[in-house]
Amino acid sequence: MKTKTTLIGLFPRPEYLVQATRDYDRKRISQDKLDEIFELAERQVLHTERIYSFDTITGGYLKWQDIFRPFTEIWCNTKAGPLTRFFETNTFYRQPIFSGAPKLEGNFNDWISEYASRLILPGPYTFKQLAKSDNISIVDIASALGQCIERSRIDHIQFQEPSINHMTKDWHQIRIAYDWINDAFPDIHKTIWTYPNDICPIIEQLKNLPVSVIGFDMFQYCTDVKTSLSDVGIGLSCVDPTVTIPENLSYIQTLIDQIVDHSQPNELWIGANPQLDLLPYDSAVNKLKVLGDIKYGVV
Amino acid sequence: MELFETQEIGSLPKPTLEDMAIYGSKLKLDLLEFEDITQKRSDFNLKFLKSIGLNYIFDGEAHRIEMAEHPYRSIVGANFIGHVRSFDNKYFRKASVVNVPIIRNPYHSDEYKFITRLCNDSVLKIPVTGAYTLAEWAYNDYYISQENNQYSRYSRKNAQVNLVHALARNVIRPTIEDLIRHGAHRIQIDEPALGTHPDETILAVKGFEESVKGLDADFSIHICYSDYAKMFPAILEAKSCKEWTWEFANRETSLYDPYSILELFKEYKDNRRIGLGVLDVHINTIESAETVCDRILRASKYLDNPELIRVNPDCGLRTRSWNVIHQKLSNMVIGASLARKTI
Repeated sequence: MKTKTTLIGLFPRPEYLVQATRDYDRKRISQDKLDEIFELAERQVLHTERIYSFDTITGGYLKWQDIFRPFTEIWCNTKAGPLTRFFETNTFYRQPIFSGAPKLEGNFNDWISEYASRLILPGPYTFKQLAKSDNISIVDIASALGQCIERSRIDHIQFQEPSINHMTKDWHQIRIAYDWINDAFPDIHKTIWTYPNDICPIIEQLKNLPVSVIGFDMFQYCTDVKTSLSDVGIGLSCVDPTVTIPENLSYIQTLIDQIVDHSQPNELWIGANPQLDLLPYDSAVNKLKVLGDIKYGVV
Repeated sequence: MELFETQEIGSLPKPTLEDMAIYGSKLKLDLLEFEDITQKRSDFNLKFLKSIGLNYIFDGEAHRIEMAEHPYRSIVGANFIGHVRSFDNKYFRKASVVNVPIIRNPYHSDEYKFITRLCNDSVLKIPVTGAYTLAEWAYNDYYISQENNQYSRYSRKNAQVNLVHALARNVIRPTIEDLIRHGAHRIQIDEPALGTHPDETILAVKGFEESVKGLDADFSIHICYSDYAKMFPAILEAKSCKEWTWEFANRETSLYDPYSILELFKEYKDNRRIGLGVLDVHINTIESAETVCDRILRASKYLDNPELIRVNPDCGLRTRSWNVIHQKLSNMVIGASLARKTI
């Protein structure tokens, strides 16, 4: 089986871009200059993705300040609210606040690279859970995400769903949202990526969703699980964003082999980690090399 | 000592020269002339908080860049490897621990000495980032690389325990000892990282005790945004802590009273002070004095002892504007006074 590689989350900004955003905030450089530096940085990420022969490329989504930010800018009835801690990290997102059903009003394509072949979106369930969204339904969110998918014309879509874990009880709602997306976009390749939780207790529910690939943190996966995954593809987060020491390639390869042997998926994707932006840029680039090495068997 | 004393809890925004000119004039603050912007800010923050009428204050951490980066600048055995986003376009330099961490120099003493020149130390409460949070917010490369399998949960846990103890012993304790030598006697240990890992309370408590046990000061522990119930009863083993300074207001809804968790202290017969979070620092809505008063009175009922309560914001107010900060803290002081009259 061919191993496919990809970025699966926001990529950190290079140091010169961090400095440029600071300079812009302090009114030391113009919007045009900042845009120019964003473009340069995006080209650098695209180049890195190509060097490692990633099967889908993203450009790193460098303009996104958190996974919800574009939508609070370009959807009506949606605004960026208070800073809120993003799960167990020392990073924060601005909580989206809905005053009514969201609809696309701005230009979504301003937020994604023109070369991107993989669209990474917050999943509708995570969006609903982490936003202030009492007055809207999960389908309202799925529908607004659908407008973005349509505009992007990208045919590999990945939904980030860190809010789905073993405590999740709203499977009926999740199913409705993903059915809606599948009905609207039957022909695109859809991936749902959960992190950083152990998916074993919820593997049956995930399998029942109409997606092509289920992505998860492979270090959390337990091969004791009895469920076969032969009807779907799997995506494995296989590097660790919480340390900067070199990864143990042979150990990672062995784990991948074990999981593939055990689950017999019909597709295998490996990605660095949805939370690679917990690392500085240079360290994150080092992690990407691991994917290239595994893909080409340099272990 | 009066009931419901009020206190600030952590960092404030870094005021610009314009902020200081506007509020200095508006509040008639007697600001001193300093060449150094940090010293100006420190002076402004102290006088800003004092003018509102808080009982215990600090300088809004004007001398510090960020609560993890600041200590790591003074630690041998840790290197900064680049910037990681905190939020929006705000980044902090994240450290990688590459060897046994040892303090180069106590990193709060100069700041404390400066502040005591401006302010009577009887009203000061100095925040110090705790060992658990310092460990959580760095890359633990050294101790993980000492383990046989860098990916196993057991190895990770073991490496984390080793780092917390090393930081407590070699970094935090010498820092606090030096602060005490310089007269500090009210010290708040900040452990926000515990908020996201309540299952690691035992480790955080051990780190705390190793940092402060036997030292002569009034220690509090600040934690925020956690499932506090999960920290019980392990948290109570922090025997050297005299005050639990926690966030509450942020989680209040029409259906949920966050102060009800205080009943656990009663249940466990724990009679230590509570630093009661009554202001949500994540929203611009200004809590009225009546709301603050109501929160204090509710908490008093759950504790059965109003004397245990000190009143503070949930956390540092650094993400709010000066106008919002002023209104919120002013209402907090008035609300505490209302509660005093009502009870």
